[in-house]
Amino acid sequence: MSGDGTFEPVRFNGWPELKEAFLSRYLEASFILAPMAMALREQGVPIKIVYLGHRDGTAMIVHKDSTIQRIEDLRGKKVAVPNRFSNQRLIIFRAFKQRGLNMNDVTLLEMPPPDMPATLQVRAVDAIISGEPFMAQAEMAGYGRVLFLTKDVWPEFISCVLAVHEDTIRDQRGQVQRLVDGIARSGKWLDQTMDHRMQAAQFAGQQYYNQDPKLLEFVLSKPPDRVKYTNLTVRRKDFEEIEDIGRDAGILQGTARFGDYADPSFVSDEASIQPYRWEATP
Amino acid sequence: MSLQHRLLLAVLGWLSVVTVLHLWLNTHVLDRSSSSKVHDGQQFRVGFLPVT
Repeated sequence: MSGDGTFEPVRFNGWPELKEAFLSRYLEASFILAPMAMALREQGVPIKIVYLGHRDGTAMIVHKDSTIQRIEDLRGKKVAVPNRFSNQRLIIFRAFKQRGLNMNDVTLLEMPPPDMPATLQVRAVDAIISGEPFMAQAEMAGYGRVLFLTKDVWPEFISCVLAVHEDTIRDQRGQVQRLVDGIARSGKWLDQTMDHRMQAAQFAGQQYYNQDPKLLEFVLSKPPDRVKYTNLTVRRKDFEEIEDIGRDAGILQGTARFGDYADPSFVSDEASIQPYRWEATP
Repeated sequence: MSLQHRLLLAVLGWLSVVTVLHLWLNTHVLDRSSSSKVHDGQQFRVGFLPVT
Protein backbone atom coordinates (compact mmCIF):
# COMPACT_ATOMS: atom_id res chain seq x y z
CA MET A 1 0.00 0.00 0.00
CA SER A 2 1.49 3.36 -0.92
CA GLY A 3 0.27 6.88 -1.40
CA ASP A 4 0.77 9.20 -4.33
CA GLY A 5 3.63 11.05 -2.67
CA THR A 6 1.67 14.21 -1.86
CA PHE A 7 1.77 13.54 1.87
CA GLU A 8 5.12 13.13 3.51
CA PRO A 9 5.04 11.48 6.95
CA VAL A 10 7.74 12.93 9.19
CA ARG A 11 8.64 10.87 12.24
CA PHE A 12 9.64 12.37 15.60
CA ASN A 13 10.64 10.68 18.85
CA GLY A 14 9.47 13.32 21.33
CA TRP A 15 6.51 15.68 21.62
CA PRO A 16 8.48 18.91 22.23
CA GLU A 17 10.41 18.50 18.93
CA LEU A 18 7.21 17.74 17.05
CA LYS A 19 5.47 20.77 18.53
CA GLU A 20 8.34 23.07 17.52
CA ALA A 21 8.35 21.66 13.97
CA PHE A 22 4.63 22.37 13.73
CA LEU A 23 4.97 25.90 15.11
CA SER A 24 7.84 26.69 12.75
CA ARG A 25 5.61 25.66 9.81
CA TYR A 26 7.90 22.81 8.81
CA LEU A 27 4.80 20.64 9.16
CA GLU A 28 1.48 21.49 7.51
CA ALA A 29 -0.31 19.03 9.80
CA SER A 30 0.57 16.80 12.68
CA PHE A 31 -0.68 14.12 14.98
CA ILE A 32 -0.34 15.81 18.35
CA LEU A 33 -1.52 15.32 21.93
CA ALA A 34 -5.08 16.58 22.32
CA PRO A 35 -4.49 18.84 25.37
CA MET A 36 -1.29 20.17 23.75
CA ALA A 37 -3.27 21.29 20.70
CA MET A 38 -5.91 22.89 22.95
CA ALA A 39 -3.25 24.66 25.02
CA LEU A 40 -1.56 25.97 21.87
CA ARG A 41 -4.88 27.46 20.78
CA GLU A 42 -5.18 29.12 24.19
CA GLN A 43 -1.74 30.61 23.61
CA GLY A 44 -2.94 32.15 20.35
CA VAL A 45 -1.63 29.58 17.87
CA PRO A 46 -4.09 29.33 14.94
CA ILE A 47 -4.48 25.56 15.15
CA LYS A 48 -7.50 23.39 14.45
CA ILE A 49 -8.16 19.79 15.44
CA VAL A 50 -9.80 18.16 12.42
CA TYR A 51 -9.84 14.45 13.26
CA LEU A 52 -8.61 11.90 15.80
CA GLY A 53 -5.68 9.56 15.34
CA HIS A 54 -7.24 6.64 17.21
CA ARG A 55 -9.23 5.87 20.33
CA ASP A 56 -7.89 4.09 23.42
CA GLY A 57 -4.48 2.55 22.65
CA THR A 58 -2.82 3.64 25.88
CA ALA A 59 -1.84 1.44 28.82
CA MET A 60 -0.25 1.92 32.21
CA ILE A 61 2.46 -0.66 32.83
CA VAL A 62 4.20 -1.55 36.07
CA HIS A 63 7.10 -3.92 36.65
CA LYS A 64 5.96 -7.54 36.76
CA ASP A 65 7.24 -7.91 40.33
CA SER A 66 5.76 -4.62 41.49
CA THR A 67 3.52 -4.47 44.53
CA ILE A 68 1.26 -2.06 42.63
CA GLN A 69 -1.97 -3.94 41.97
CA ARG A 70 -4.48 -1.10 41.66
CA ILE A 71 -4.49 2.61 40.93
CA GLU A 72 -4.53 3.53 44.64
CA ASP A 73 -1.17 1.78 45.03
CA LEU A 74 0.46 4.49 42.89
CA ARG A 75 0.51 6.75 45.95
CA GLY A 76 4.10 7.80 46.62
CA LYS A 77 5.36 6.27 43.35
CA LYS A 78 7.15 7.64 40.28
CA VAL A 79 5.24 7.52 37.02
CA ALA A 80 6.58 8.42 33.55
CA VAL A 81 4.17 10.38 31.33
CA PRO A 82 4.74 11.54 27.74
CA ASN A 83 4.18 15.22 28.43
CA ARG A 84 2.58 17.67 30.83
CA PHE A 85 -0.01 18.43 28.11
CA SER A 86 -1.05 14.82 27.52
CA ASN A 87 -4.27 12.98 28.21
CA GLN A 88 -2.10 10.29 29.78
CA ARG A 89 -1.42 12.81 32.55
CA LEU A 90 -5.10 13.75 32.69
CA ILE A 91 -6.24 10.14 33.00
CA ILE A 92 -4.10 9.85 36.16
CA PHE A 93 -5.62 13.08 37.46
CA ARG A 94 -9.14 11.80 36.65
CA ALA A 95 -8.59 8.35 38.18
CA PHE A 96 -6.98 9.86 41.30
CA LYS A 97 -9.85 12.31 41.76
CA GLN A 98 -12.37 9.48 41.53
CA ARG A 99 -10.45 7.67 44.29
CA GLY A 100 -9.93 10.60 46.61
CA LEU A 101 -6.25 11.03 45.76
CA ASN A 102 -4.54 14.09 44.35
CA MET A 103 -1.56 14.71 42.11
CA ASN A 104 0.69 15.49 45.07
CA ASP A 105 0.44 11.79 45.91
CA VAL A 106 2.51 10.83 42.88
CA THR A 107 5.70 12.03 41.19
CA LEU A 108 5.30 12.48 37.44
CA LEU A 109 8.32 12.46 35.12
CA GLU A 110 8.05 13.63 31.52
CA MET A 111 9.75 11.25 29.12
CA PRO A 112 9.72 10.45 25.38
CA PRO A 113 7.63 7.29 24.96
CA PRO A 114 10.44 5.30 23.25
CA ASP A 115 12.57 5.71 26.41
CA MET A 116 9.91 4.41 28.78
CA PRO A 117 10.28 0.61 28.53
CA ALA A 118 14.01 0.64 29.40
CA THR A 119 13.35 3.05 32.26
CA LEU A 120 10.81 0.66 33.72
CA GLN A 121 13.06 -2.33 33.16
CA VAL A 122 15.82 -0.82 35.31
CA ARG A 123 13.14 0.32 37.80
CA ALA A 124 14.04 3.99 37.50
CA VAL A 125 10.30 4.57 37.62
CA ASP A 126 7.47 2.53 39.13
CA ALA A 127 5.04 2.86 36.24
CA ILE A 128 4.92 4.11 32.68
CA ILE A 129 1.99 5.35 30.63
CA SER A 130 1.96 6.20 26.93
CA GLY A 131 0.42 5.33 23.63
CA GLU A 132 1.26 1.92 22.21
CA PRO A 133 3.34 0.06 21.14
CA PHE A 134 5.88 1.04 23.81
CA MET A 135 3.73 -0.27 26.64
CA ALA A 136 3.23 -3.61 24.90
CA GLN A 137 6.99 -3.74 24.33
CA ALA A 138 7.53 -4.01 28.11
CA GLU A 139 4.71 -6.52 28.38
CA MET A 140 5.98 -8.69 25.51
CA ALA A 141 9.55 -8.62 26.83
CA GLY A 142 8.27 -10.11 30.07
CA TYR A 143 9.21 -7.43 32.61
CA GLY A 144 6.02 -5.34 32.32
CA ARG A 145 2.52 -5.99 33.60
CA VAL A 146 -0.60 -4.07 32.60
CA LEU A 147 -2.05 -2.08 35.49
CA PHE A 148 -4.85 -0.78 33.29
CA LEU A 149 -5.82 -0.22 29.70
CA THR A 150 -7.48 3.13 29.04
CA LYS A 151 -10.58 1.43 27.65
CA ASP A 152 -11.25 0.16 31.18
CA VAL A 153 -10.66 3.46 32.98
CA TRP A 154 -11.63 6.18 30.47
CA PRO A 155 -13.56 4.47 27.63
CA GLU A 156 -13.12 5.99 24.16
CA PHE A 157 -9.93 7.65 25.40
CA ILE A 158 -8.42 10.24 23.06
CA SER A 159 -4.64 10.51 22.91
CA CYS A 160 -3.54 11.98 19.57
CA VAL A 161 -5.47 14.24 17.26
CA LEU A 162 -4.81 15.44 13.74
CA ALA A 163 -4.10 19.16 13.95
CA VAL A 164 -3.72 21.55 11.03
CA HIS A 165 -2.77 25.21 10.70
CA GLU A 166 -5.84 27.38 10.21
CA ASP A 167 -4.47 28.95 7.03
CA THR A 168 -3.66 25.50 5.65
CA ILE A 169 -7.36 24.70 5.98
CA ARG A 170 -8.17 27.97 4.21
CA ASP A 171 -5.58 27.63 1.42
CA GLN A 172 -5.44 23.85 0.96
CA ARG A 173 -8.79 22.57 2.10
CA GLY A 174 -8.83 19.88 -0.58
CA GLN A 175 -5.53 18.45 0.65
CA VAL A 176 -6.70 18.42 4.25
CA GLN A 177 -9.92 16.70 3.17
CA ARG A 178 -7.92 14.04 1.30
CA LEU A 179 -5.75 13.47 4.35
CA VAL A 180 -8.75 13.12 6.66
CA ASP A 181 -10.55 10.85 4.18
CA GLY A 182 -7.47 8.66 3.93
CA ILE A 183 -7.17 8.30 7.71
CA ALA A 184 -10.89 7.65 8.08
CA ARG A 185 -10.99 5.03 5.32
CA SER A 186 -7.80 3.36 6.60
CA GLY A 187 -9.30 3.22 10.07
CA LYS A 188 -12.47 1.57 8.82
CA TRP A 189 -10.38 -0.90 6.83
CA LEU A 190 -8.24 -1.67 9.88
CA ASP A 191 -11.19 -2.37 12.12
CA GLN A 192 -13.00 -4.49 9.50
CA THR A 193 -11.24 -7.78 10.25
CA MET A 194 -8.38 -9.11 12.38
CA ASP A 195 -6.67 -10.16 9.16
CA HIS A 196 -6.51 -6.50 8.08
CA ARG A 197 -4.94 -5.59 11.41
CA MET A 198 -2.26 -8.24 10.95
CA GLN A 199 -1.55 -6.98 7.42
CA ALA A 200 -1.27 -3.42 8.75
CA ALA A 201 1.17 -4.58 11.44
CA GLN A 202 3.46 -5.88 8.71
CA PHE A 203 3.60 -2.82 6.46
CA ALA A 204 3.32 -0.15 9.17
CA GLY A 205 6.05 -1.83 11.22
CA GLN A 206 8.42 -2.09 8.27
CA GLN A 207 7.66 1.06 6.27
CA TYR A 208 6.62 3.71 8.80
CA TYR A 209 7.33 2.80 12.42
CA ASN A 210 10.56 0.82 11.97
CA GLN A 211 9.31 -1.55 14.65
CA ASP A 212 8.98 -5.31 14.91
CA PRO A 213 5.71 -6.29 13.18
CA LYS A 214 5.17 -8.90 15.89
CA LEU A 215 5.00 -6.10 18.45
CA LEU A 216 2.35 -4.31 16.40
CA GLU A 217 0.46 -7.58 15.92
CA PHE A 218 0.42 -7.91 19.71
CA VAL A 219 -0.88 -4.35 20.16
CA LEU A 220 -3.58 -4.77 17.53
CA SER A 221 -4.88 -8.08 18.86
CA LYS A 222 -4.35 -8.48 22.60
CA PRO A 223 -7.11 -7.66 23.21
CA PRO A 224 -8.61 -6.58 19.85
CA ASP A 225 -10.15 -3.46 21.40
CA ARG A 226 -6.85 -2.33 22.97
CA VAL A 227 -6.77 0.35 20.26
CA LYS A 228 -9.55 1.38 17.89
CA TYR A 229 -9.45 3.23 14.58
CA THR A 230 -13.12 3.98 14.04
CA ASN A 231 -15.38 6.63 15.53
CA LEU A 232 -12.68 9.24 15.06
CA THR A 233 -14.92 12.24 14.45
CA VAL A 234 -14.15 15.26 16.61
CA ARG A 235 -17.06 15.34 19.09
CA ARG A 236 -17.82 18.35 21.23
CA LYS A 237 -18.68 16.40 24.41
CA ASP A 238 -15.36 14.50 24.38
CA PHE A 239 -13.36 17.71 24.16
CA GLU A 240 -15.47 19.58 26.69
CA GLU A 241 -14.66 16.76 29.12
CA ILE A 242 -10.93 17.20 28.38
CA GLU A 243 -11.38 20.97 28.82
CA ASP A 244 -12.97 20.46 32.25
CA ILE A 245 -10.35 17.99 33.47
CA GLY A 246 -7.54 20.08 31.97
CA ARG A 247 -8.75 23.16 33.84
CA ASP A 248 -9.06 21.17 37.09
CA ALA A 249 -5.56 19.81 36.57
CA GLY A 250 -4.18 23.29 35.90
CA ILE A 251 -2.87 22.69 32.37
CA LEU A 252 -5.66 24.51 30.51
CA GLN A 253 -6.99 28.00 31.18
CA GLY A 254 -10.41 27.55 29.61
CA THR A 255 -9.90 30.52 27.30
CA ALA A 256 -10.31 28.46 24.10
CA ARG A 257 -13.52 26.59 23.50
CA PHE A 258 -14.50 23.80 21.11
CA GLY A 259 -15.36 26.21 18.29
CA ASP A 260 -11.95 27.84 18.61
CA TYR A 261 -9.72 24.78 18.47
CA ALA A 262 -11.82 22.23 16.55
CA ASP A 263 -13.11 22.00 12.99
CA PRO A 264 -15.22 18.83 12.69
CA SER A 265 -16.49 19.74 9.21
CA PHE A 266 -14.25 17.31 7.32
CA VAL A 267 -16.31 14.28 8.36
CA SER A 268 -19.96 15.17 8.82
CA ASP A 269 -21.23 11.59 8.90
CA GLU A 270 -18.94 8.85 10.22
CA ALA A 271 -21.29 6.15 8.91
CA SER A 272 -20.83 7.35 5.33
CA ILE A 273 -17.10 6.57 5.29
CA GLN A 274 -16.29 3.59 3.11
CA PRO A 275 -13.26 1.44 4.03
CA TYR A 276 -10.50 0.98 1.49
CA ARG A 277 -10.87 -2.11 -0.69
CA TRP A 278 -7.35 -3.35 -0.30
CA GLU A 279 -5.88 -6.74 0.42
CA ALA A 280 -2.22 -7.62 0.79
CA THR A 281 -0.68 -9.43 -2.15
CA PRO A 282 0.68 -12.80 -1.02
CA MET B 1 34.67 59.93 4.71
CA SER B 2 35.26 59.99 8.44
CA LEU B 3 35.77 56.90 10.57
CA GLN B 4 32.39 57.56 12.22
CA HIS B 5 30.63 57.46 8.83
CA ARG B 6 32.45 54.28 7.84
CA LEU B 7 31.48 52.61 11.11
CA LEU B 8 27.86 53.69 10.70
CA LEU B 9 27.76 52.31 7.16
CA ALA B 10 29.37 49.06 8.30
CA VAL B 11 26.81 48.63 11.09
CA LEU B 12 23.89 49.41 8.77
CA GLY B 13 25.27 47.01 6.16
CA TRP B 14 25.68 44.27 8.74
CA LEU B 15 22.14 44.80 10.03
CA SER B 16 20.77 44.64 6.49
CA VAL B 17 22.58 41.38 5.76
CA VAL B 18 21.42 39.80 9.03
CA THR B 19 17.85 40.99 8.46
CA VAL B 20 17.70 39.55 4.94
CA LEU B 21 19.22 36.25 6.12
CA HIS B 22 16.70 36.08 8.97
CA LEU B 23 13.76 36.73 6.65
CA TRP B 24 15.03 34.16 4.18
CA LEU B 25 16.17 31.36 6.49
CA ASN B 26 13.93 31.67 9.52
CA THR B 27 10.68 33.20 8.38
CA HIS B 28 10.81 32.02 4.72
CA VAL B 29 9.33 35.38 3.71
CA LEU B 30 11.67 35.59 0.71
CA ASP B 31 11.52 31.89 -0.11
CA ARG B 32 9.17 31.77 -3.09
CA SER B 33 9.94 28.17 -3.92
CA SER B 34 8.81 26.79 -0.56
CA SER B 35 5.46 28.57 -0.57
CA SER B 36 4.72 27.59 -4.15
CA LYS B 37 5.59 23.96 -3.39
CA VAL B 38 2.95 23.83 -0.70
CA HIS B 39 0.31 25.43 -2.84
CA ASP B 40 1.07 23.11 -5.73
CA GLY B 41 0.36 20.21 -3.41
CA GLN B 42 3.87 18.84 -3.93
CA GLN B 43 4.68 18.71 -0.23
CA PHE B 44 2.35 18.29 2.67
CA ARG B 45 4.33 17.19 5.68
CA VAL B 46 2.48 15.36 8.42
CA GLY B 47 4.30 14.90 11.73
CA PHE B 48 3.83 11.87 13.91
CA LEU B 49 5.33 9.89 16.76
CA PRO B 50 5.45 6.12 16.33
CA VAL B 51 2.64 5.62 18.84
CA THR B 52 -0.60 3.79 17.95
